Amino acid sequence: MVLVVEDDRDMRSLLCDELWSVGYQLREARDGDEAFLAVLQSVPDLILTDLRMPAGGAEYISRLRTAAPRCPIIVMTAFGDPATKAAVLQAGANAYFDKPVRVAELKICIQQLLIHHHGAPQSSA
Amino acid sequence: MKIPNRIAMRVVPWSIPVLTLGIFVLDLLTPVGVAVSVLYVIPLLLTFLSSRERDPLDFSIVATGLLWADLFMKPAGLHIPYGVLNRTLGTLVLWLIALGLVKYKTTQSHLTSAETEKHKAMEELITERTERSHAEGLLTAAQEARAYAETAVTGAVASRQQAEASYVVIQLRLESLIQSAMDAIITIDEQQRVVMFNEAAERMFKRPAREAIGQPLDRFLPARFREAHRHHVPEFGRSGVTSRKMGQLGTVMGLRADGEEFPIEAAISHVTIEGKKFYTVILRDIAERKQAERLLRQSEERYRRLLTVSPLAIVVTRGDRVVFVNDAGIRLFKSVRASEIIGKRALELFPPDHDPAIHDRLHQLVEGSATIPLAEEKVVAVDGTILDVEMTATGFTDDEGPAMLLTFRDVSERRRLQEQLRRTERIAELGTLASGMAHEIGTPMNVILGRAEYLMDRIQDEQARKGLHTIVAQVERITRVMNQLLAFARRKPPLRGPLALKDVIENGVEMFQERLTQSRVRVEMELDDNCPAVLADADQMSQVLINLIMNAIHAMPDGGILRIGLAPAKKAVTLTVADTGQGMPAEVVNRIFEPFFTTKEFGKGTGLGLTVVKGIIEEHQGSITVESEQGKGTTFTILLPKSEKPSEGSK
Repeated sequence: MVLVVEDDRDMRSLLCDELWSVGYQLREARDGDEAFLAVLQSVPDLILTDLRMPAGGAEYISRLRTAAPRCPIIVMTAFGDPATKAAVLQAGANAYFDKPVRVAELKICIQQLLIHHHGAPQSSA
Repeated sequence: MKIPNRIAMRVVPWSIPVLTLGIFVLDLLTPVGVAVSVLYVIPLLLTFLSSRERDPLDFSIVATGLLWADLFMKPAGLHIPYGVLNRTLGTLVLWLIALGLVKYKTTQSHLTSAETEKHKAMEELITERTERSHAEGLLTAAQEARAYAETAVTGAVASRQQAEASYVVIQLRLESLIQSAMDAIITIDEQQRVVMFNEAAERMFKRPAREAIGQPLDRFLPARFREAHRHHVPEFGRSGVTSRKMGQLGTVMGLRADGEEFPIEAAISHVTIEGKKFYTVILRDIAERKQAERLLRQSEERYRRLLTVSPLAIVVTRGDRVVFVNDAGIRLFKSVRASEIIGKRALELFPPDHDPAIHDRLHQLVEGSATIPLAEEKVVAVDGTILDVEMTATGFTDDEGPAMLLTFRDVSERRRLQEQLRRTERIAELGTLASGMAHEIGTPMNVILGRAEYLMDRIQDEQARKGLHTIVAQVERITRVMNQLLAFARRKPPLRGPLALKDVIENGVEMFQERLTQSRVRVEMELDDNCPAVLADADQMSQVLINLIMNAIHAMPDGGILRIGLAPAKKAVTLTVADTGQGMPAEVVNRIFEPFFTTKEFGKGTGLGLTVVKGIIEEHQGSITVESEQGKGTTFTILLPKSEKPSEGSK
C-alpha cells in the first residue's frame, strides 16, 4: 500500500491514476497532518509525498521517519534547490525528485524501493 | 689763626728752652768753624708766637750768652779768629731779628686796641642815632619803606613760585608720560651713558633704573652689535636728522639682564641742551609680535598644507579663471601639474555640450557669486574624459576681491559600484522571484507533463500523440528555462583560486569534440604556454567556456572555424572565442547580454546563457566585449585579472 500525499488535487489525481494503473493499492492525504495521522493509523509500504504544502517541510519528513522508521519515503518538490534536497534526505527521505517529475522515473524508483525494503514487488506490473 | 695760636700756646712754653739747650749741646760738640749758632734763630722765631711783646729780646740775651759761653768752653776756641767772627755775626743776626719781631708785635697790639675802641665808639653812635630816630618820629617812613620792600619781595616771590609751579606741572606731565609709556624710553648723553631710564625700560631689560643710570648704552645690546652701534649713534648725531622712526633702523636685538635676547624696534632722536647733545631712544619689544607673526605664518602654512592634502578636490576661481587647484584637484582632472589647470577658464572645466540650463547656471556661478550647496555635475578631465562629480561652490571675498571656492568629489567610481550593487540586487530579486515562481508553477507543470505522458501511453491516434508530444516538449522547455533561471539566481559564491585557463579550455573543447565534429566545426587553438594563471572559479570558467562554444556552434549551422585564443595582457589574461558564423547586426550586439534576449529559434535558447557569462566574468573583476560583423563572424573577448600566485598545476 502506497500513501500519496499531495495538496494539489490534479497532481494527486495524476499520481494516483498512474500508480493505480500499475496496480498499487493507494491511500491519499491532502497535507502533512493528514499524512501523519494516516501513518499513525497504519504504516504504509511506501510514502510518496510533496514537500511544500500545509504542514509540510523537512520537519514533517523527520516526523514521518520517526513514526515509520522502516518505511521508504519519496519526496517531490517544485524546483527544489540543492539545500532543500540535502535537508530532506538528512531528515530521512529515501529519494528526492524535483517537479516536474517524469512519472516513468518515479515508477521505477518506487518499484526499486519496495523490492529493497520488502523483498518483493507488490504490484503486478 | 685760631688753631695755630692754640697749638702755639701749648707748644711754645716748653719747646723754646728744650730747643735752645739742644742747640747749645750741638754747638759744643761741633768744631769751631761750623755755624751751628745760626740755629738759635728757630727758637727766636718761635717766641713770635708767644703773647708777650718782650720775649724775643729776652731770648736774644740768653742766646747771646750761650753763644759766647760755648766759644770759651771749647779749649781751642779762643785762638781761632773764625770762631769770634762767627759768633759776632750770629749775635748780630739774632738781635736784628729779635728787634724786628718786637717792633712788629708792638704795632699789632696797638692796632687791635685802636680797632676795639673804634667799634665801641660806633656802637655808641648807632644806639644814639636809633634813639634819635625814634624820637624824631621817623618810624612811619621806615615802615613804609619796609612795606614797599616787602611788597616788592612778595611779588618777586609769587611770580617765581608761579613759574616754579607751572614748571613742576610740565615736569610732572612729562615724567608721567615717560614713566607710563608702553615703550621703553632711554636717554643717553654724548658719551652714550644712560641718563634716563623709564619704567617700561625697566620691564623690558629687567633692570631697575637705578642700576641702569650711568651705564653705557651698549650694555643693553648683545655683544655682537655693540661695535656697530657705538659708531652708529654719533653718526646719527652728525647726520642732521633730528629723529628717525621705528623700523627705519631695521630690527635690532636687545639684551635683558638675564641674558635673554629679544627683537626690538627702535626710534631715535637727539636734542642739544646747553651745548650738550642728548639722544633719546624709544624701544618697542617686538618679540611677541614676531612670535605672533611666526605663528600666523605657521598656521597659514599649516592650512595651506591641509588644503593641499585634502582628499576633496579644491579649485579656486577668480574672475572666470582658475587661480588655485590642490593635489586632489590635479588628480581628479587627471593632470600632472597644477599649471595645466591654473589659468584655464573656469567654464573649460565643464563639458561644453552641457545641458544649456546647467550651462547657464554654471555661468552664473563662475562669474557671479552664487553659492550652491551640493550638486551632481560633470567635469572634463585634462585628457578629455568626462567625470561624474559632486560639486559645491562657495563665493568669498578676500583682499584680492571676489572669488569662488569649488570643491569636487569624483563619484564615477561610486556610481560604478552603485551600478554594480544595483545589478547584484536586481539579480537577487530575480532569484527570489524565480524561486517563488518555480515553486508555484512546478506542480501545474508537473500535472501538464504527467497528464500528457499519461494520455500518450493510452492513445493510439498519431495526431493526438503528436499534440501530446508537443505539450511534453514545451513543458520540458519551460523546465529548462526555469532551471537556468534558478541556476543563475542561486549561483553559489565562486570558489576562486589560481587557475590555468589553458586546462579549462582544453577540457571544455574535448567535452564538445563529438558535437563539434557533428556540426562540422574545426577548432583552432592558440594558447600561450606562458600565460599566467587567473584567480577564478574552475566550474564557473567551464560554464563560461561551454556557453561560448555552444553559441559559436549555433552561429555556424553550416560549419566553420572556432578559434580560441589565450594570451597574456597587461596585469590580465585575454581569452578570445571567435566563430566564422553569420555575425550579428549592431542592435543585436547591443542587447546580447540582456537577460531573456535570444535570436535563437523558438525553443532552442533560453536567453540567459550570455547573461550568465557576463555575470560570472564581472564577478571575477573581468570584462567581456563582443565584436561582430555580419557574414564574417563574432568574436568574444574576455579579460580576466591575473593571479598573484601561479596555479597549482592542471587537474
